[in-house]
Amino acid sequence: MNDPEDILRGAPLAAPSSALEQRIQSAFAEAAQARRKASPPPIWRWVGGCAAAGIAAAVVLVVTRTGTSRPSGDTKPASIQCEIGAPEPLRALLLESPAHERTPPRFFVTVSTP
Amino acid sequence: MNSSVAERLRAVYVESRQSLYTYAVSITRQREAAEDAIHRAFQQLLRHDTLPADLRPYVFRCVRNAALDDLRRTKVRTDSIFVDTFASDQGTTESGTFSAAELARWLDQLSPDERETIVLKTYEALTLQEIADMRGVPGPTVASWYRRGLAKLKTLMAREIG
Repeated sequence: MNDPEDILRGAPLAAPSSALEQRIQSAFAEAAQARRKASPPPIWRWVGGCAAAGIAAAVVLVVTRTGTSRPSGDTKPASIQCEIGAPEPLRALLLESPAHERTPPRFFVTVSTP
Repeated sequence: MNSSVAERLRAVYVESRQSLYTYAVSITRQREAAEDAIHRAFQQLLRHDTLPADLRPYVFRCVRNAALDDLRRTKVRTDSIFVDTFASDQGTTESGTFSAAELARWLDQLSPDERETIVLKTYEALTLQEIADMRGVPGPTVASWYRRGLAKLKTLMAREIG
């Protein structure tokens, strides 16, 4: 066993103190605490936040809609009926007379008043 | 820092605590300073968000840097990597007996690079190429430090044995 490496390997080594062990453990604990403080909020917080924002938006919308003034009475617009007709038979006028003899057909339009 | 970083670092610490300490003492030659260096290195490592896949050499490099920082500050260096109570009969070899003080004295006579290389090769079982990668120097340079260091140790031992 003349090899310097073997001689060195056979010599007992000094061990680290228990103080180092404690210091390293505290370093790990401090790092874990810092991680907890810096970590983003859990997913349920994000979901809860979004739901609350949605509900608030819906409430604002409903309040705004009910608050706007409407014309009183019936809100449905009055319907108007139009009737278009001809006083004479259109077929006889358009098909059974020569074009050069044709006079523009007459129509009437009746519009109901609301 | 995320939890997987902490877990990986803890695993390396538990596995390599003795190796890191021996390595740090071989650089600082002061046990208290070596423990400070390991503590500082882990404090810094724990701030990382990601770590390299091959973590062990990286941790050794961080401890080395912290130990070298300390070395620049403190001047008096007396501690060895061996236990203080290491009696001469524990170092018995076929050719003679060596005390911890003698072994430490011989190691002290090596250059820092030679001593560091021999400690890493002997106690951490790193290959010369791994040491070169860790130190960021060419492999032949590390091989040269190792050969020169061993030659010096052999000469010192032979002189002691007479």
